Amino acid sequence: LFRRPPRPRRASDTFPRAPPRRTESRALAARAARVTRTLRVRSFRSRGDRSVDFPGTMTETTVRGIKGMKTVMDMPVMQDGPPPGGYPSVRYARRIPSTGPTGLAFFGAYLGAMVYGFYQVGQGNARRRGLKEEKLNARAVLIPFLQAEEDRRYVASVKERQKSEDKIMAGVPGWKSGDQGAVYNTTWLPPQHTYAPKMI
Amino acid sequence: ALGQGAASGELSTRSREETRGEEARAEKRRRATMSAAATGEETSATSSVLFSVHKHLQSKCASRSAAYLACKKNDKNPEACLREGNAVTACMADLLGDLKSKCPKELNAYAECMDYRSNTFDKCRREQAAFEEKCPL
Repeated sequence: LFRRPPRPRRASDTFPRAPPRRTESRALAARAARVTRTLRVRSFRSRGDRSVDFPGTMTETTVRGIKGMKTVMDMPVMQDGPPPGGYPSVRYARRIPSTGPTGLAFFGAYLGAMVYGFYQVGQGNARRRGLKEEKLNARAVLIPFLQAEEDRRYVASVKERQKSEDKIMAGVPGWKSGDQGAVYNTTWLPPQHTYAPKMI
Repeated sequence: ALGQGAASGELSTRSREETRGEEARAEKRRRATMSAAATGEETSATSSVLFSVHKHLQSKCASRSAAYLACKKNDKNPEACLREGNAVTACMADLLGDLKSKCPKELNAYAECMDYRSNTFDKCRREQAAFEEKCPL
């Protein structure tokens, strides 16, 4: 599920530089660390290449000179050169190790997150269902009380209407107020009730 | 009651408490025979109050509600189920009076919370707990 960076096995595998040898002594390593730059000394006289470790700068030599120097021709020409063994190689090769979680690990993480998310969704739905049930139960409990009130009011209003109709049609002979069971005799339906399709 | 007291200026044989008690009993008898609307004293319980006490109503007035609904199922005419309806309303009035005497503050707090939250139960759990602790079902 998790990949670690690969360990280098051979010198050629670690292009462009070989790893430091563990047998190297500490004193040698310290000296190599100190002497980062040496001067390759040689003179103009054809005496061959007198490569000597000369601690000093060109300016110093020109000003003070060296022991046993007779002419300027004897003055060594100091060149700034590379350290012994050469400069360490510069690594320019890319190394992009394939580390970290594998694809399977990522998919597993996504799957876990989704499973947890859907579980939470289910919990939320259950909770909302409970609240809805509570609300509907409360409404169901209250219906008889409200309907009883409305019944009394309706009956009173029907009586009132009938009374006023009697009063209005008092002079008309043979007039009976109320609907006289004109529509339904067996079942009672609320006023303006129809079985026709409704617009709203 | 005031008229009666003013008419008889002298001390009556009966004590004032006795007369008052008898008047209260007569009133109660009158109320039992007539419907709540006829007495002119409909309980002014708003929706928030009713939702607050719905659990108590469910537990205490279940039989009367069931009787009323059965009557309604039989005949939907409002005139047919007036008696059961009055019984149901009386149960509710009794319950509300009982709760107002026992735990008025908690009931008012719960009803006010429900009124403020437009009858959402989930937003008044604290007041509901206090109310149901004071006046259990």
